[in-house]
This record gives sequence, C-alpha cells and structure tokens, in this order.
Amino acid sequence: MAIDTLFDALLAMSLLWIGWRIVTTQADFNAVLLFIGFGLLLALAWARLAAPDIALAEAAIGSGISGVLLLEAWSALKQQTVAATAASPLQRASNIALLAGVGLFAIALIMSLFTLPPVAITLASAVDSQLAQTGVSHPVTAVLLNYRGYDTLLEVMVVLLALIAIVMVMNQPNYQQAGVQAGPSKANNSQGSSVSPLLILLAIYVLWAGAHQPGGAFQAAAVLTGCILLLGFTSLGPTLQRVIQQQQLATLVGLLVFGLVAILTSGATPMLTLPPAYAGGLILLIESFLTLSLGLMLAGFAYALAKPQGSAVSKKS
Amino acid sequence: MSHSHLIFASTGILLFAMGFAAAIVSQAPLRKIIALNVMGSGIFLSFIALGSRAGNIDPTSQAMVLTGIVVAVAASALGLALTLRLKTLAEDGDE
Amino acid sequence: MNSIAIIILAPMLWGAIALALPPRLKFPLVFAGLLLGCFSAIQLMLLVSTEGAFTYAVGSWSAPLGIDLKVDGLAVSMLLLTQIISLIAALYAQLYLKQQPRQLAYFWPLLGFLLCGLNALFLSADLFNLYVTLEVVGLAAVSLVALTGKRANINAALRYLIATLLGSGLYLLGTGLIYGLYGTVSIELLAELIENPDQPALLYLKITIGLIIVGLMFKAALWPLHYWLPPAHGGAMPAVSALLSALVVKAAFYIVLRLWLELFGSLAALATPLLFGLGAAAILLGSWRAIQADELKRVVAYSTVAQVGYLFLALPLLSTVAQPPALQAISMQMIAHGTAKAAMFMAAGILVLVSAGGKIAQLQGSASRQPLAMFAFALAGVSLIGLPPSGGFIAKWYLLTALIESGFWPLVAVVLAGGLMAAWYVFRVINIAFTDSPDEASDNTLITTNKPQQTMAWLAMLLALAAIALGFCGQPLADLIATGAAS
Repeated sequence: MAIDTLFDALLAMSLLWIGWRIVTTQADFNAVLLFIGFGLLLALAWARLAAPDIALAEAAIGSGISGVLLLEAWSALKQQTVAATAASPLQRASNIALLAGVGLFAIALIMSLFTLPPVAITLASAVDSQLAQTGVSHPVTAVLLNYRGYDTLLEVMVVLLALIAIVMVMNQPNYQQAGVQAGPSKANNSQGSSVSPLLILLAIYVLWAGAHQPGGAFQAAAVLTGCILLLGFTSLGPTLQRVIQQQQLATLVGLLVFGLVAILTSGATPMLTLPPAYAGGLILLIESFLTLSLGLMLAGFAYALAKPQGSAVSKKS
Repeated sequence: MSHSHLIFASTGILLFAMGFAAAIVSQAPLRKIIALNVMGSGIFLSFIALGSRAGNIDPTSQAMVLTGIVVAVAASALGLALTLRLKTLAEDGDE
Repeated sequence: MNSIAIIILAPMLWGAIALALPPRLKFPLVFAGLLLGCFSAIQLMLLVSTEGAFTYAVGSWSAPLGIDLKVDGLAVSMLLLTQIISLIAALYAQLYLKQQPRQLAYFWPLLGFLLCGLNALFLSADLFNLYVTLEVVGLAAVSLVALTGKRANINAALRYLIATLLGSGLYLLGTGLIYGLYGTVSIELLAELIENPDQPALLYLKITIGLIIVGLMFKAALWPLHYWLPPAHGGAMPAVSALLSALVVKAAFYIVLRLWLELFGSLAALATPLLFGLGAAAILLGSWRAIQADELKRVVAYSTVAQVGYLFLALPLLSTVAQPPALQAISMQMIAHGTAKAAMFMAAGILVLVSAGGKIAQLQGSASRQPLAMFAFALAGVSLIGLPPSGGFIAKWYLLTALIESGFWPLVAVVLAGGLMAAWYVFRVINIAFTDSPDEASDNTLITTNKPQQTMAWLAMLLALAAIALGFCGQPLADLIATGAAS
C-alpha cells in the first residue's frame, strides 16, 4: 500500500474512533470538545480529497462556528439537572434493533461500493469547458455562484431564516430581562480593536481571491464572523448586537442584493442568467454583500445563544 | 475507485450510521444535535469521496457539500436555541 | 417566464423586507405579495394547460451543469393550492394575532420564506436543489411551530426539528450516493440512466432509493415516523397548523410521487407490501387516535396522519395497470385534503376561542356561539370523510377504483373503514358542539358578534366550500395533470 493510502487509512480510523467517542461519551463537555477536534481532523480529510474550499469552510464554519455555538449551549445547559432516565426493556430492545439495522445497512452499502461501474457523466469537464463564460476562474466558485447559484440563493435564505427564528425563540417573553446583553461581558478593548482591521483585510482578501483560487464568500464570511465576535468585546459590541437582533439592513442586504439580481436577470432569459460580459462583476458584487450579511448572521447565531448577563432571576411578563 | 476514495466513502457511511443511530438513541437534545452533525459530516465525506471517484477534482460535489455545511450549521443553531429556550422555560415553571 | 421567477423570488423578498418595515406597512406588503403570487400561479396554470409542460433552466445552464425546473400540470396545481391557502392563512393570522404584534411580526418573514421554499420545491427537477428546498420548508415550519413560545410548542418544535433533520440526512445521503453512481443530480438525466435494465450496482441503487424514500417518510409523517406531527400541528397557532398539514407534509410526499413517477417506480415497486402496510396502519391507527383524542386540534392533527396514509397507500398502484385512477386519486387527495384540512384547522381555532378551552368536552355550546365556524368544520369534515359532493369523495372514488382494478380487496376494506372512522371523529365533535353549554353565564363573554372572529370564520368557510367545489373539478384536474406529467 502506498504511503498516502496508509495515511488516509489512519486518518479514517481516527475519524471513526473520535466519532465513536463523541456519541458514546458520558460527559457532554467531552462530546463538544471532541466534536471540535473531529471537525479539524475532518478538514485534514478534505485536504486529502483535494477539496481546499471545503477544508477552509469546515475548519471555520463546520468546526469553528459550530464549536462556539455548542460551547455556548453546553455552558448554558450545564446547570440543568438532566434526569437520565434508565431505558425501559422495550426501549433497550428497540435500541438494539435499531443499531443492528443501521449496522447491517452500513455493511451492505459499503460492500456494494465495490460494484460501482464507471461514472456515466463527468461534470468536471463540463464545468471547465464553460468556465470562461462564468466570470470567475475558480471552478468551485463558478458552480456556487453561477452554474448552481440558485442553490446558494436559497441557502442564504436558510441562514437568515434560522437567525430570525433563533432571535425569536431566545427573546420570547418570560426570558431574562429584555435588552439582552448577549455576548461576553468584560470589555477587552485593546485586543479586539487592534486585530479587527487585520481580520477585515483578511476577509476581503479571501473574498476577492475566491474568484481564482480556493476562497470566496463563505470562507470570507467566516473570517468576518470571527472579527465581529472579537469586536463584541469592544465598544462596538452593543451596536453590532443591535444590528443583528433587530435584523437591520446589513443582515438583510446579502439576500436582498442576490434576490434582486435574480429578479433583474429574469425576463427574456431564465432568472440568474449572468451575461458573460458582466458575470465577473456581478458575482463579486453579490459575494461582497453576501460576505457582509453572512458574517453578521453567523455572528448573530453566536450572540443569540450566549448566556445573558446578570443574575438568573427572570422577569415574568 | 482508488483506495483513498473507497476508504473515505466507507468512513463517511459509518459515520453516518453512528450519527443517525446516536441521534435517535441519545436522550439529551444537545447530544442529539451533536450526533446529527456527525451524521452530516459522514454524508459530506461520502458525497465528496464518491463524487470524485473517477480521479478528478469535482467542483460540483464540492459546491454542494459547502452548501450542505452552511445549512447544517443553521439547522444546528436553531436546534440549540430551542434547547436553551426549553431549559429557561423549565426553570421558570410552565408557561 | 417571469411568473416562475416571481413566484419563487417574491415571497423571499417580501419576507425579508417585511422585517425592516414598520408594523403598519407589513401586512399590506405581504398581502400584495401574496396576491401577486396567486396571479403568477394562475398564469402558469393557463400557460401549462394551453401550451403543455416545459423545462426552465435556471441561469440558462441546462442540466447536468445547472438546475432545471419542471413546469407541468402537477406542479402548477400544487402551486395554485399553495398560494391560495397561504393567502387565506395570512388573512386569518392577521386577525388572530391582532393582540400579539410581536408574534405577527415574526410570522410574516417565516411565512414568506416557507412559501418561497414550497414554490421552489414544487417546481424543482434537481435532487440536490430539492434538498435545499426541503431544508427551507422544514426549518420554516419548525420555526412557525415555535412561534407562540409556549413550552409545549417549543418541545414540539424541537422534536419536529430532529425528525426533519433525520429525514433530510437520509435524503441527502441518497442524493450523494446517486451522484456518486451516475455523476448527476438532474432527475431527467437520471431517469434515462436508471431505466437501463442491466444495472451493475443494483443493490447500491436500491439502498439509495430506500434512503430517499424513508427520509421523505419522516417529513411526510407516514406511520410510524409520524410521532412528531400531533404535538406540532395540534399545538401550533391555527393558521400555522393549516399551512403545515395542508402544504408542508404534502411537499415531502409530492417529492416521493415525482420520483416514483419519473425515476424509480419500477424498482421501488419492491416496497409495495411495506407501503401498503404502513399506509393502512396510518389510516387505521391515525383515525383511531383521532377518535380517542380529547383535544380538538389533536383530533384534526391525527386526522392528517390518517389522510397521509391514503396517499402512501395509493403510491404503489402507480406501477400497476391501475395507474390512471391512482394518479387521479393521489392528486385530488393532495389538493382536497389540503383545502379541507386548512379549513378544519381554521374553524377549530375559532371554536377553541369561543370555548372555555381546547378540549372536546369544553366545546359544548360552541355551535350556537359560532355557527359559521361550526358549519365550516362540518363541510370540511364532509370532504375528509369522503362524502359526495366533495374533493375527498372524488379522491376516494378513484382510489377505490384503482384498488379494485388491481385486485387489492383487503385495502378496499381499509379505505372504507377509514371513511367510517373519519365520520366518527367528525360527528363526535359536531355532536358535542351542538349540545347546550352547561354554564349560561359564560356565553355572555363569548359573543358571536365579534367581528374578527366572524371574518376568520368566513375564511374557514371559503376554504371548506372550495373543498366541496373540488368535487366538481375531478375531470379538469385530471386533464391538467395529464398535460406533460411524466409517463
């Protein structure tokens, strides 16, 4: 076996072992930490599979932001006394049946992997052949923002939808006193404000670079989210939180611009038909606003789930 | 299919199976959500491994998985919010 | 051409903009947007009936590179159903939530995104795009359940979320596996590839199809994966329950229907005994729970579980000689049940308002307080039971025809039993509502001259009458669906 196959096998086994530990460990905190580690290991797998865009996104969004959210949730939940109910015999039996069934399914599926014929359609060549008309030279960005831009548009809507729902749920009456001071408490002015310009520059670079190399709106948004979370420590914190909590224009503008482009390009041609001459510019425009909004929205998840300040005394309204 | 792709595809399927079963069997919502994320990671791994099994880099499956990752984060965040809200409601008494 | 872009993008945009508008302007914008959607749906329907079905390549990239939308009779009928029910549900919500501006403010964007997702779903002809639309619809539906903030609803929402994510996971894995096998997610292209009789990876393909179907079963609440539905639909705000039962569960089933017709009908026919069994179980057990439930909205929710059973029961018939009546039965059932169930939930919502609480026993005297709502409830029940004239009757008629033609006599008995049980739980409610309220004093505080309640009752009545009117639309609907529906 070649060295890299060996490496892949080791990587795969580590992933499986950590995955196993995540679902079987007793302590919630361990599960969260292991999950973050799992995500980083997964990023390595993406790199091995020649998917650097995903590696970036996985590390930043799948592991980074998810990790933050899970930690916040764990921290808020740990005071809760979870009455771990012992499983009844019937439940035990059905659990075992479930595990057996799922295991059987997995084995059957893996075995059938060996029977796969050569692929009927290879999209990669099609993507490359039309790449010149898409306005960007990085294939993944071309697929995301041009060939299958419609999926991306819907996906941005999903993020906004989730943010609205989360803010709605976390701010419902009976919750802690309104004026949720979400986010970390101590103002640590110096560090946050000195690093943020750098992070913003980095975000802009990742965004711009996405046109011809791995990168793009989502990864840039993740960087921006990091920046925004850091700024939460500073005097800008309350302003940012207000923008997100009240879904002010900045959070909406990504979806609105993208949707507007979609509407404006519909008419003689099907929607989201980007004329090759303007495609590059349009994509950059859309991506810029997407980066801004997504950055705010993802930070918004973190703010909304953070433990509110003050005592645990709640005000019933 | 190359060995690497086979290895990762199988890993993805096994992770899916683990996550799926754990999401059903676990009792705490937080653990269910983590399990769902593991399940999702398994799906994405298989997706990419199988999508590029012809040996070339396949941007379409990569774009799809990127979309999937973002959607998964959004869904998890919503699940966590509901979980936290439940805890608050439990503390305050029924309403 | 434009209508397609409008019907998908308008709800997305007005949903987002409604967030930024002051309270007074929210509803006018939403209402205008919904009307626009209705016009677009009608336009599309006329287009399809005169010129036939067509494909719309988003971004001018046709499959496999881009995403195709398929505009045919089935899609436009579901689109029209969706716009109309959403419009009426919006009007209802505006009245119902008059005293809760905060909830109302959140209702609009959630409704807009839900509607965008549904419209996109009904038109989509791309497996991965369908996944994204399923997520939009699922998350929006979960959020709408959580709208009220009450503990029971948050609990139900969380349960629903986990169930829907399990379903999405199965579906997405199936999609990934199919992509891995063939290299495309376009339904049209996949159909040609799957038709190929000598499949080297047959087991793999069957597992993949199984994953997709089971994933969608989670979302369509087919027994036994229905456990999340009664708390979610039974506890949500009535307009939300209407949207969920009428449209959201149908959306998941719609995908199963499409894929069955266009992709894997012949292969999935293996699952026929399973689908028959689960469908029958849903009908019988769902109806039984509806009969036993002690809360009004739970009765209506369990009724949905039963009615979904009819849909899955009829599904395998599409691969038999009885395909034409089976398809007619399924399409009419989707539309008639959607209309009737929405009417029923809205009427139930009013009945609960004029009673001491949500329990059936507390409904005494509500018929005299809100006769219009009661009448709407009864009419909707007529369609649900399957009495003529109504859309439900047409659906049952075709279903029985299909079952008899293909010789499945035990299932004929199941369908008839389902109708009887529906009659039982509908009449149970009507019966109690018509008995006099023991406490005369309470009547004074719950007056029927309450203007918003009257309007809401009229809205419910409108839908109930529509369900009855569908009883005369059997042939037109069949013709429309035949226009370009996959053979």
